[in-house]
Amino acid sequence: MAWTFIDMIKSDTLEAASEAASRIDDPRLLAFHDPGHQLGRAMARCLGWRQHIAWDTYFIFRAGVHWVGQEMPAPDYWFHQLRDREVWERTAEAEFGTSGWTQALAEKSEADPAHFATGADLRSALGEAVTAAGSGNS
Amino acid sequence: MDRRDVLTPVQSLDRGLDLLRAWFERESGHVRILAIQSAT
Repeated sequence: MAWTFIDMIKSDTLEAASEAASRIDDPRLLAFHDPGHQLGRAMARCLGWRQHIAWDTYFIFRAGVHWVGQEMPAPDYWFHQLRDREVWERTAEAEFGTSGWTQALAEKSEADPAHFATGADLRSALGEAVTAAGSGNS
Repeated sequence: MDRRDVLTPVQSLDRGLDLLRAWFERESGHVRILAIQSAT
């Protein structure tokens, strides 16, 4: 699993990312930090989002899928916890990271509601997707 | 002990996605999960 921490609010930093990654001690886990939204934008493009950054988003890929082009391949399964935006980030009057910014952020989304999952539902959806991906039922 | 001594190393993607792509290809024989979240 690649666990990426993207800087979306003021408190998101490299140190915060490292502390968050340290909550799980698993050699299969690789942690990344995305301060410039490079991965967030790449994942958004992958989903066809034109105006948003992906975060609180989870991609699952079957074995055998390769990353051959410039863009990463589309996931076999994906979920999000998003109410997100990118144009809004550029145009919002509220200062980045303020409570107003964070509150407005929750109102913005280009993500398909059919892929929305959170809490126990998200854990269940991820588990089922990993099982399905492992059996080739995508 | 310095608190930083026990933190998990985190690799920056600020110069591009090559590191992530390398992981993706290295693990291509397995199901892969790619998660992106705010740390806080």
